[in-house]
Amino acid sequence: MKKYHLPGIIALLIFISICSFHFFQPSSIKAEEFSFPINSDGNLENSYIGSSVTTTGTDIEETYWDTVTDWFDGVGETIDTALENIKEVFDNIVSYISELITTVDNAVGEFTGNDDATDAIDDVNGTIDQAKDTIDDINIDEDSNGNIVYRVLREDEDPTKGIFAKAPEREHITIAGHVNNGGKKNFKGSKYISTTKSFDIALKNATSNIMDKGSAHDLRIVKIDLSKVTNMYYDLTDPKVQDKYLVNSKGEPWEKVRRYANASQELLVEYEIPAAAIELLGRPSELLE
Amino acid sequence: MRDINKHIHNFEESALNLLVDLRMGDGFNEKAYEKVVEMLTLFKMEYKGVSSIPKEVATMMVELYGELYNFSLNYAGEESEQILKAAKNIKIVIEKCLEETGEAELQENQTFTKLVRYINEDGYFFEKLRSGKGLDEQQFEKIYQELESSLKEVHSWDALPKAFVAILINFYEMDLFVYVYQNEFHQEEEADKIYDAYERVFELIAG
Repeated sequence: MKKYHLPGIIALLIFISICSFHFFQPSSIKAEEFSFPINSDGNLENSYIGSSVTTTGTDIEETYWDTVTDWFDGVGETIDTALENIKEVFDNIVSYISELITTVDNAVGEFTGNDDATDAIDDVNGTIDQAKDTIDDINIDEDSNGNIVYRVLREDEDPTKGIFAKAPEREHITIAGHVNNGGKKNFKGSKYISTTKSFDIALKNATSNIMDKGSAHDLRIVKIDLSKVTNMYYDLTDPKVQDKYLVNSKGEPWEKVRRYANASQELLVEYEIPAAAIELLGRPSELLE
Repeated sequence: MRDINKHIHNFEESALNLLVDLRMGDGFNEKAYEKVVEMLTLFKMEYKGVSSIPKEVATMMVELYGELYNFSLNYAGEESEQILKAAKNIKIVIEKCLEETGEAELQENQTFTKLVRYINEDGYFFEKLRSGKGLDEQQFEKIYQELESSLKEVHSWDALPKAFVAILINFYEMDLFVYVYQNEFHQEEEADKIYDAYERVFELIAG
C-alpha cells in the first residue's frame, strides 16, 4: 500500500513546501520575484504573490498569515523565556561560585588567623617553601635506594670518630636476642649497632627517651649512608632477613621480635660505622628551628 | 577446635600489640590487655583437667610477664604502675591456667626427670635466687645441660606439659632477679652472673 501512496505524498509535500516557501524568506527579498498561477475567479492567471500579500490580499490569506505570525511570536516568546531561565541559572551558578570563594577565603583567614585570604595563602606557601628548604638543608630526602638510615646518638658518642657497638666482645648475642633484649634496662649490649630506616622514629627517640620513663631529651640525630658502611648490616624489615635471623633457637619464625623490628624499622650494623658514612643532622630543637 | 584456634590467634595478636606499643613508647594498650586477660581466662577453662597446653600459648605465656615487667621500668608514674599491675594480674591468670601442673607426673616422664631433680635439689634453685643466696653456678650448669636436652626432646611436640611451662617461665624471668640483686641486695657481681646465666637460658628457650 505504502508503495502506491508514496508518489502522491511526495507531490503533496512539494506543493505545501512551495506554498509555504515565501514565509521563510528574508524581508529584503521582493515577493514579485516569485510567482505561480493562482486560481482567481475560476480562472488561472499569473499573479504575483507579492502583490497579493502587499497590496490587496484575501481574508483567507490574512488569517493564515496571522496564524503563522502568532505561531512565530509564540516560538519567540518561548525562546525568550528559555533564555531568561538559562540566564537565571547562570546567575545562580556565578553567585554560588562567589559564595564558595568567599567561604574559602574566610576559612583560610580563620585557619591562619589572618583575615586577608591572599596574604594568608602567601603565608602558607611561604611556610611550605621554608619547610622544603629546611628539608633540603638537612638532606632528609626520600631514600629511593634504601641506603639511608638514622641513629640517635648518646651524649658520649662522637660521630666524627665513628659509631661503635656497645659490646663487640659479646659475640654470642644473636640478632634476635639483640632485638628482644635491646629495649630492656639491664641489657648489656652486643656487637650490633641499632639504626632505623625511619627519620620519624629517630626524631621520636631523640625527643622522648623510651628507655627512661619517656623523659624529654634533645639528642643528636645522624644520617648514615649505608653505601659507605664497610661492615655487615642487616635490614630487619626485609622478610628474607627475618626468615634467616629473626627466628627462635629452633629456626622457627619468632613473631614477637619480627613485630618489634618492623615497628622500629630496625637495621643493625655490625661492630662499627665509619665516620665517612655519618652526617650529623643535629638535635631536634635545632632541626625545628 | 576452630574456636580454640581463633582464641589462640586472638591471644597472640593482643599480647603482641600490647608489647609492641610498650616497646615503641606508645604507652599501655588497655584494649589489648583486656583481650589478653579474656583469652587467658578462656584457656583456664579450656585446659582445665588436662596436663598439657598448645605450644603457641605456652610460648607467649613464658615471655609475657617478664616482658611487661621490664617495660614497666621504661615508664614513669601512674603509667608504670598501671603496666606493673597489669603484668602481675596477667601472671596470676597464667598461674591459674597452669594449676594442677602435675609436677610429680613430669618427674616420672624421662624427658624431664633429671631436670626436675636438679632444680629441686639443695633447697630448690629458684628459691635460693629469691632469698638472696645468689646463683649456684654448679647447680646451674647441671640444670642448663638438662634443660638443653629437654628442649631438644620437646621441639617436635605440639603441646607442652603445664609443669614444664611453669619451669620455663621461671628461667625466662631470671633477668628480673638482676634488678633485685642490684637494688635490694646490692650485689652487683651476683647480679652480673645472674644476667649472664639468664642470657644463656634465653638463647635456649627463645633464640
